[in-house]
Amino acid sequence: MSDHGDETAGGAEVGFEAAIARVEAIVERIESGEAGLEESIAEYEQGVALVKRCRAVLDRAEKRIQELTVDAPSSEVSGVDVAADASDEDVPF
Amino acid sequence: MAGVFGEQQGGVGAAAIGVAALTERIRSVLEAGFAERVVVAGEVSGFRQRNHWYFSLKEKDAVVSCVCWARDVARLPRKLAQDMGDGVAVVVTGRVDYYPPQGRLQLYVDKVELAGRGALEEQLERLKAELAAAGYFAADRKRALPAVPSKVAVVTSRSAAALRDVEQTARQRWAGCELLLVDVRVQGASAAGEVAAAVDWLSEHGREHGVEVVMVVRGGGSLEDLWAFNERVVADAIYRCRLPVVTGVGHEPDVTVAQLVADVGASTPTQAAMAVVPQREALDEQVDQWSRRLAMALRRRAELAEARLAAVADRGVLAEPGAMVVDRRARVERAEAGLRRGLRAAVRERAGLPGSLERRLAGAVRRWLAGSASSVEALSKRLDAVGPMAVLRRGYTLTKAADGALVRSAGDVRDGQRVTTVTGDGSFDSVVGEGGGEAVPRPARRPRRSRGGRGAEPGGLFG
Repeated sequence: MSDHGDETAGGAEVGFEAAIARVEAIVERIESGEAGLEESIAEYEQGVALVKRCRAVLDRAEKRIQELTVDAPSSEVSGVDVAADASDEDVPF
Repeated sequence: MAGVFGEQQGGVGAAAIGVAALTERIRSVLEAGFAERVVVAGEVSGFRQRNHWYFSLKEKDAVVSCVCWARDVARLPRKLAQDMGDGVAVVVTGRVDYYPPQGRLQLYVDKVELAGRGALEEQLERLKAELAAAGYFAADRKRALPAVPSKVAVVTSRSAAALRDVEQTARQRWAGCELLLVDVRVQGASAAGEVAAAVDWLSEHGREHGVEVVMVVRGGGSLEDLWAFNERVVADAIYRCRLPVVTGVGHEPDVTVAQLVADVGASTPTQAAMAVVPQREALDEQVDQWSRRLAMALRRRAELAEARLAAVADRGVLAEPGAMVVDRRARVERAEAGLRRGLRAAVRERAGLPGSLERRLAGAVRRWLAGSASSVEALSKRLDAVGPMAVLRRGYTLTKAADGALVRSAGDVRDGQRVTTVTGDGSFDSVVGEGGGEAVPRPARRPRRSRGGRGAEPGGLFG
């Protein structure tokens, strides 16, 4: 599951799961007492930033459904508002 | 067989034949007319099972008796044996013959298949058995879904109610999960090919578009309606898909081949969406929990640092002959403990606050730690200042008995006892009582005098 999760993070943005995993690592490092106090505080601040990042991901705005046109050679994602289309013709399946 | 009555002449010129001869003739006619085995479709009625199966096959007003011997019954699929009964449409294969003892024409059936839906079901069972044997449904192939997928492809029809079920459920759970429709036909002859092509395409290119999970959904319908999801091409596409696949096809009791091959086979589109899209509240809780653990970890780390500082300070105190100024030390300890309690409370209070204040906590910890370090240092200096050595340097002395106990009262010593007097820069020994109760001619003071000095200490030392 993480094999593609890392790829989709796109480098610049840390995904939710990756961020949580890093917070976990930071907590473990601070708890272990291996890091000095100054270092622990720096790690803590990094952890706080990651927590903030997670909250930002969760707060992401609602997006309408996009459509992926598979048969076209370029396979561009189009911004069709699918829900509006669909509500006209009510097919029962 | 000629029959016991032989051949006799009938009343109207034609020779009468025996019944046995007639039945023999019927059988030979049937044999000639039905040289091949017949395959007959009809509806079962009057089904009786006594090792052998006895039933009639009807169609409208026509009916034919059938019998299937136990040895043939045993060769039939178990599923069919379970489903067999009155009203079931079947296709039977067998031989037409006449049974003289009952004067009945019968179909001697050696193969029974369910017709229509039954035939589809049989085909389905066969495919399921085949794919199961090939390992398509193996539990160890099932991949875990990403806990928080940011983008999910939904393979279904644009106009399907299933799409709206998925969208609605996803929005209710967590609106941040992006849905990407791949529009395909989900019913009819081309459906299986379109679904398979969509899954294959997503396997190849989905990640380029950020897709983390593939959903294949369709609402409920008859077995025929759902047939595309029971086709081998769809099973193969899901089997080789490089992204995890979640299906939600049909209603609760329907189990399609696609569902069995999928990493997660939900029973409806809604349940598929629930399996894929996490619940916002649960994610919030997870983040809050880690946030709390983070704050707690730092607090513990700070307490550890504090404890180390305190240990150092304690060693400073103990290095002094501090046992002799018990009340002073207790006061200092109380002050120190109060300081620690106050700091801990301050940190606890801050740790309980929401995320926006977490950064401030770090600052508080920094300030607290800086304050704590200087406080302990100041306390050490102060302890040193009020310690017994400083007092002695001011001209007081301490007197100890031979066992090292502090002499606090004149009654503590007896004549002839050896005592040690401690001054600011050293000590000397003397013997009590020699000289008729007068102090020995030494610079040491009598215990009595030092007692008077002690009375002045608290204010003088701490004030």
